[in-house]
Amino acid sequence: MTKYILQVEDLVCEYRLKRQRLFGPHPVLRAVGGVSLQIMPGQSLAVVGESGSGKSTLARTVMALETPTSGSVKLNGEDLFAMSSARLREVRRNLSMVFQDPYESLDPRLKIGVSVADPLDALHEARTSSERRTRIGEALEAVGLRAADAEKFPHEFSGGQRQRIAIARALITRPALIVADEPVSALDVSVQAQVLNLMHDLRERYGIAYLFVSHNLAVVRQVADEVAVMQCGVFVEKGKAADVFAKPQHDYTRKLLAAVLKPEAMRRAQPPLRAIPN
Amino acid sequence: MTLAALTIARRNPSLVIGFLLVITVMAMAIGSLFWTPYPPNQMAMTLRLQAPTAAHWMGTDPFGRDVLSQIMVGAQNALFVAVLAVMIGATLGGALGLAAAALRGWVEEIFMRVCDFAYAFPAVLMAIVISALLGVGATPTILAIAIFTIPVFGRLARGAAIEVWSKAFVAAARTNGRGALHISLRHILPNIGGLLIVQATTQIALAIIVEAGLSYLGIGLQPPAISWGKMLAQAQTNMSLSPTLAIFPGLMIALAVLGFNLLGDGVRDALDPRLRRLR
Amino acid sequence: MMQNTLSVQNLSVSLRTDSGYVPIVRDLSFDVRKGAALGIVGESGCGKSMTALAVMRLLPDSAQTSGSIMLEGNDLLQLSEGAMCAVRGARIGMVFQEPMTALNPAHTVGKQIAEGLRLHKGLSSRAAIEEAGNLMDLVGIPNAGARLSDFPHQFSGGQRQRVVIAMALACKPDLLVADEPTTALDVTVQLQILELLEKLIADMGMSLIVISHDLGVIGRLCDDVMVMYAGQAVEKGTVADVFDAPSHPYTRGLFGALPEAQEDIGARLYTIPGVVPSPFALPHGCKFADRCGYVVPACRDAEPPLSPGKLGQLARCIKVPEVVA
Repeated sequence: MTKYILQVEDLVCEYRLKRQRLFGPHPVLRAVGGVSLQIMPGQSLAVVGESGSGKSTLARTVMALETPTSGSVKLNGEDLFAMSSARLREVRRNLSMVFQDPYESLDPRLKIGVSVADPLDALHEARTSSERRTRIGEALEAVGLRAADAEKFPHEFSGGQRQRIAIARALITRPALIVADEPVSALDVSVQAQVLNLMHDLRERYGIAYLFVSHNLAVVRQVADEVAVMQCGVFVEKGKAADVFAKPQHDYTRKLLAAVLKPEAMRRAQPPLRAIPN
Repeated sequence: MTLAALTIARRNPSLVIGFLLVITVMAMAIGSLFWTPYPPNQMAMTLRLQAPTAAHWMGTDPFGRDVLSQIMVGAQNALFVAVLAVMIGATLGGALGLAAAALRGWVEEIFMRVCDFAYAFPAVLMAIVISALLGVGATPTILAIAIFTIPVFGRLARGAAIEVWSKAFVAAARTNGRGALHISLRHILPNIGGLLIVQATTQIALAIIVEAGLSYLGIGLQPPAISWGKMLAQAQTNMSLSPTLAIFPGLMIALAVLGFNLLGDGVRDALDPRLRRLR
Repeated sequence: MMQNTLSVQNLSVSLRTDSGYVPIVRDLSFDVRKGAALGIVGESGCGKSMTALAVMRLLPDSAQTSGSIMLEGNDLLQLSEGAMCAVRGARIGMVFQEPMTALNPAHTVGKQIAEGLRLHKGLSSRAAIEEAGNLMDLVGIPNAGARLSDFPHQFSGGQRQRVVIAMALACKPDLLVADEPTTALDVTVQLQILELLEKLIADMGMSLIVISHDLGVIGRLCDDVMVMYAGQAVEKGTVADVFDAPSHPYTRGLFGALPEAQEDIGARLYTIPGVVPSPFALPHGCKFADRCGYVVPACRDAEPPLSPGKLGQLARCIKVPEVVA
């Protein structure tokens, strides 16, 4: 019996680097050095850190794209690295990922309907082609695109729209957990806001849990219930988002918070912006 | 329509010139299947070593055979050998390269070392060795060319495939539960296909040279099959009597090679202008 | 009258494409005051990087430029390519987004910093290397003298950007153009680089153009700001005025969309509806009209001129009173 959707215990990921001398030992890089975390259904945890902190390795290991040196990743209580590959394929319906670069995360040679439906097709989940079409349409409409867009190619869309398509693909199996690795850091400010709002709404509508990886504390504030600050492969601070932002305990967290550049306009309240009519 | 053609010609002249040259050679080859001015191996001792005339546009050889007819059949043989050999080499090499990129580890290591070994020998030398082992004639020639083509495509496919494997859309496919075979065929191959086609076009040019070279040395196509290389070898012995004999097969080899090379460049530029920088 | 280091008047840039010329920068005028920093802010495709390239005359051959770019009284657009080479590096320094591509991996950083000094100032190799050491020290690289003989890959991302800044500063230029100088860097490193740039312009009295999509960076570093949309300035003024009372609906939308600007945790962000118009099919009249909540029919009749905003700034909008009300 477990109540967590995701449970990571004492995860360690090490890489063997190239030998420095011909017969020398392989130096070992410890990208993740003993990390534990839990996410409840419908909750979101943000992992914040700078480049090289190991946060992307953590995300990729949770997705079983990398194999850990030790430790476990449990989805609904089942260890991803202790199950058969057939069972892993099956379990993946509950686990999706959204990547950083919207220009790289869709195969340029495939129509977006094909890309979006790939999680379904891999599971042979849609029994009829009309069911498949309906599911694609639903997923695209859930992210604010049109069902007819399924017939287009990625280059016909802007960066923000592509990130929506990637989110539609992540949604189509109605997963319990989405791992998002810097999903908005490649986007323009106004588009970033649209995508963050979308992720916010999807969570309310479908009760999806997020593991959200980002270098940007300000972005994290908008999406996370809990925040874990990662430095050199370990969490240096973890807690409720409100607490971490209001009362940071660790020096590094304080340093990160101090580095957030707040446009000075924020001191002065602005009148509410008028929405577009109709 | 004409305007569009002119725009392409101005923007990508190598595509157009290469295409025209290749089409010409192909037309000669295909044409020779149905019609040649004279039966290519028909001897006429009274008409030996003639300079070009109205009846024999390219003259005749030491046995009085019509050179134009031989050139046309030669085009057919040159293209048949080169295209088939490159197709075999590209398919095997591409498959091995894709496998190496998908599996990495020791599979890749062994594959690459074998490629390195194959690369250490010049193409023609390699073909000679293979011909010596397999014997002479069309099939050994095709196999010889195919075998040294394999590492060319293997390395190219592996390098390009590794780059595609690092893309996020491949990671996305993996998170959907897709295996290496599905990813290689669905995502990797279509994304490196253009590169392989460009390489194949250029590789056909090389294959034409090698086939001509092997036939020139007498270890390629065997009589009665006609090869440009063999025509050259024959012309050499009659150089002082009839210099024109060497010109036409030499010119055909040059034009065919130039045509395929230009076509390859043109196709690459047309497929992906960014690849131009890699030249 | 305040003296300007750079004065750009009616700059237009078009790019030749398969379907004719497309306008990338349209009738853009701005000044960079002596010793002050101008921030150019806008989203991808708004023409801000093209503006920077135009100032440095580094536009691709397919570009057509008109207007004038006066650097201390000389029109850069009238200079020969040879004369422009003497301006680049010597009188205008450049800092790019990706420090690794701005440095040649095959040469030591000392040699690369010294190159400009030898070329533009005619220093001897030894004097140039010595000066390069001083510059590395100035930009805050510890143990500068010993690191002159290191190669770019031996530096961290932030240190590399410091080296690029040292190169740009080598000849004490009148103007430094920085295109997204901190976008590729971690947030803590970004702060250090911004502090460095701040200190350098104060100490050396040069002028600075910062191109960025990040209002936080502009707010931190700049005195003046110009907001660009669809190749045009839609709002410009001092940072104090524009940030305190943004007067164009687009500027206000940008601020509303910033997560940094939110007080509440987990609140929805304001979003600007719709997408940026394609330069191939710019709408008639105001280019922002289709995405604007204040639009009236008059907006679509003619392109609004720059008119006074709430404080001292100019905004390209005919409904400023409603927008700031």
